[in-house]
Amino acid sequence: MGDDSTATATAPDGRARAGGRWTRPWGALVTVVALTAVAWPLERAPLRRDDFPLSTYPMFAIRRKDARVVLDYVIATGPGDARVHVPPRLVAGPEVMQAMMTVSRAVGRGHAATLCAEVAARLAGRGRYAGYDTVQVISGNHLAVPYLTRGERGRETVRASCPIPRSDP
Amino acid sequence: MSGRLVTTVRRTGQRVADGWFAPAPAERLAAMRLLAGLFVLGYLVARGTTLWRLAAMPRRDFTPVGLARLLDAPVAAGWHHALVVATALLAVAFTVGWLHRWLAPLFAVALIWIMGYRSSWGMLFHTDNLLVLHVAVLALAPAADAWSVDAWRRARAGAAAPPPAEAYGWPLKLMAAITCLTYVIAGVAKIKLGGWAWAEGAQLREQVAIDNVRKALLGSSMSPLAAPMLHHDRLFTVMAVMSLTIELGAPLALLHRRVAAVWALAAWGFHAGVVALMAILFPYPLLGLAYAPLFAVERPVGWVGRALRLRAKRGAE
Repeated sequence: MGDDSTATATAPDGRARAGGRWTRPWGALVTVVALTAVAWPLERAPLRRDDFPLSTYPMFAIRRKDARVVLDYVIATGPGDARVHVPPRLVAGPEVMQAMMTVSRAVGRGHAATLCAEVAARLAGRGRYAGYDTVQVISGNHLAVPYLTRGERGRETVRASCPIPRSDP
Repeated sequence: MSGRLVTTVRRTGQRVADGWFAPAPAERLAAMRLLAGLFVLGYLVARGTTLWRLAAMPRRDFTPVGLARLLDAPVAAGWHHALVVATALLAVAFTVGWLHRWLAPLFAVALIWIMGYRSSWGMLFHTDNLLVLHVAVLALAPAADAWSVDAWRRARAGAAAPPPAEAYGWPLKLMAAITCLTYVIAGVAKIKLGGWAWAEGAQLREQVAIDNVRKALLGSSMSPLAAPMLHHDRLFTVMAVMSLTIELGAPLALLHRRVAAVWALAAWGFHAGVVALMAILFPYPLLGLAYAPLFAVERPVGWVGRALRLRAKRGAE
């Protein structure tokens, strides 16, 4: 900070006065540095050079051909086409995007079977998953609009499959 | 001619400087400190477990951003937990305005660190950016000259309440400018990545569909409005044009308080729309805090403070 601009002095009339003669130089310095820093991402490529807290804010701006969703995810399956998508907290943590990265990296690095077994262990003993017997790590390729409006599922590849452990009665 | 030009430029510069450094009451800046501080405390309560558990994230997933770029590997769990606790304690000191001049800058650095660390595992959380930038400005300004422990101690020592001053005005102007600038950057990113065709709405429609499908596939809750809305292409054209207008027109909010009110309401509506269509929550703008520096925010905060004091007094009687 280097000056007393954030300090409060007491004036002869007994009323505190903030800053004094350093207010404008200090304010101008902080203003110029802050606005330059925040505006800096304007000259960067929005997607490749995003950062925190000085962001290029590329969300909602990314163009995807055919609105295609190519994604790795985890499902639980059971008898008679029973199928449910396993929520993020049982895959990686409460954050949905972190769960996405965890599954994607597990598939990319050939660790899908390990992740599958970890998730299956978490599902074991949970009443909500009593009707399911298998966990699958899937790589899916779906067209987003038909998927949502008509329920049309695209192509799916099973990367790993493992049973949900059950304790004997 | 050149002499007249120089005079005009000088006068304009002086007018801009006078506007930027227009005096404001200490309570206005203090109200922003209170609001931002309470928001951080609420955030730490709501997300405390998530922040704490970052220490257990696999080392292989570490993708540092922000200050965490200084690291090659995640910090040891003990250090991380100590930093989370220190950030929480500094947040309390910041909110109550205790030793603001010394502790507030430390709090700003700790907050930038901890939020950046949260975003260092493969996913950048854009919801936190404006909050940490606002806290950084408040930390470098005399934001605890009123409604604070520091002010209470000065009053006990006999100092009168500070009059409106330039030092309380420019930080609010800067916070408002930062808010507007972040919207402009978001608008520019859309044009850079999608071209002006982004305004036609097709990309926004696809983005809404993609985001909701992704949530459904990942077992998270998606917006119930998304699927029915996708049948109405024109609505997305309207929303896209409005989004770009709000983002690229954000600097107009700095010109006049009435324009600011209209813009803030529109920007708030934009975020409400994002919640409705994509279930993505930007709490800082949705609670109005992102736009608060544009207004005389000390009034509602003062009313709440007086109401609380009155209630406490009645309770004591």
